[in-house]
Amino acid sequence: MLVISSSNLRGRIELNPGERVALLGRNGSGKSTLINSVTCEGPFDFHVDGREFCDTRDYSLISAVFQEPSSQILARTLEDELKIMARFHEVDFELARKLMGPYLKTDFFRLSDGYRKRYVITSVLASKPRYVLLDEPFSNLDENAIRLVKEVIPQGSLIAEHRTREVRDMVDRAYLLSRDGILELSKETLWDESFLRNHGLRGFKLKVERVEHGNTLLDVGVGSLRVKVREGEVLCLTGPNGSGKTSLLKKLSGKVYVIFQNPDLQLFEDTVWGEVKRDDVMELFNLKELRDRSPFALSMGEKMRVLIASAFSSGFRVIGLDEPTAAMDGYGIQSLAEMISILKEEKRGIIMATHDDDVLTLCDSRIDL
Amino acid sequence: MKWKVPYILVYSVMVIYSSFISFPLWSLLVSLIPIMQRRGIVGGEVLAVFLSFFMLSRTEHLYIYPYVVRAFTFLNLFFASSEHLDIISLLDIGGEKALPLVVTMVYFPLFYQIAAQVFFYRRARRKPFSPLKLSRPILVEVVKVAENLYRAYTVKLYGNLKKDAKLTPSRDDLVPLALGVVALCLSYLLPISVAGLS
Repeated sequence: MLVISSSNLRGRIELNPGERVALLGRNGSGKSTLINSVTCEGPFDFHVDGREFCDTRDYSLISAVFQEPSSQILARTLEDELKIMARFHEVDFELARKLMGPYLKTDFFRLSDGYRKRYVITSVLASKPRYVLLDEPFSNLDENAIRLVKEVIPQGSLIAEHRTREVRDMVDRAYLLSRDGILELSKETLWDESFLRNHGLRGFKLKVERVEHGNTLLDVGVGSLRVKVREGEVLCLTGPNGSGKTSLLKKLSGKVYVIFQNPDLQLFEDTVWGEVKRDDVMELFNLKELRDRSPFALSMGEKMRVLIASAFSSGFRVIGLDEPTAAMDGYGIQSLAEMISILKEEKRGIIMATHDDDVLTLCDSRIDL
Repeated sequence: MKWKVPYILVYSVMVIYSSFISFPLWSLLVSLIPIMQRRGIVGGEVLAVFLSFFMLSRTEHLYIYPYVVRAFTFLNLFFASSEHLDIISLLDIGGEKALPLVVTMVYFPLFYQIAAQVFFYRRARRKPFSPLKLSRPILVEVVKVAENLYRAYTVKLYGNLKKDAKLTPSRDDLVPLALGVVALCLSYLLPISVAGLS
């Protein structure tokens, strides 16, 4: 049995080789820190069958798949990566062939999002570890990509994930990680909407107030599509990964103020005030307390709040959001819904590209790509 | 097609040497062969080579032109290394010390993508051009990549690297050697001269 604990926290996580267990928690609760501690440089301790893991650091017992696939590859193709790994320990090429099929020799940067995740999971599974820790394996994936990833997650996995809907069907138990400690949850709790909402987890239905739409703010043709947005309207661009949602938003950039994925690449100033530059907007979006903080040091939800506030202060009447809920917890989703509500009240129009079921209720109209 | 370090080095040395024998057109053409499948780069480069020629001849600075062509040749050698280098052989030779080079080779497309996105987002957010401001998100992202990569190496390679060289040439390794010889032979046998330049 794998036992994970921390001297700073009450409770512990127990994982048997024959089960899959979910690890839930808000942004900043320590899920990634727990998984990163597998390098023996974090606050969490790992014991396998009663023995301290970090005494031997035997990664054939515990391995980990980290959050961002593109920064954990050792080579450009999985075959090359496995050849490198085979220099250091035994690797099961057959298993990798079975899991990656025709994509074993495909350049990582030419793979779809689902297969990129599958690449990094397969590279770890090819070493046949007894336990695998996975950090947000479904983050920002569409339905089809999630299916591709779910197929390869083995027993003996601890799955840290925000997307409760996606993980609750495939796990035996769950743990909630918070500053108070580690709490074991029954599987039924993962369907309890008030529990999820109150603990900042995802998987509940958003309450949406509909407003009357006003004048047309944008009416343009892009290729064969007509994009029309009115005051107070949320137009959603839906469709699987790679269907062209981001490309469409890029084409609209200039007519629409677009906030793309990965907030870190869109922040340029050294303070939150530098990004927003308007006191009334800082007040409106509840950012006054963060005024002198570096935007890079904020949580994912707060970064999105800063970017939406800067979009608001730019004066653009239509604001584009590209997959705004990626890596966001339940509070982040509720906060996004509040911000969209503010934008609607201020008679702005919103175009949101998403395939996230948790926020589809926010859409007033949809374009399926 | 993967080439081991010694053979890619020999290829690079031969192409570089041939670029100094006469006007470096042959070395440029030979250096384009291994990267033919990257059509965008090849197309852009050919266009840039022609444009440079016309611009430099208009401004009467044609004496710089061989240096321009040579620079493209060196760039192609980097692209070819990034595409075809057998990084296992690099680790064989350099062990842990070779890691930064391996990272550069593997992560070149990612870093390029990050830089391109940051430049696009700056324009989308209508931020004025400022090297300091542009460097902030790139720096943050590079640090994140480095941290993640360190963890991935630790977990996947069990926290150690060892030296176990296997450098016997394979059939693939003969390709860069042949290309290098072709570049040298063409430069010696059919030296090109452009407007008296070489």
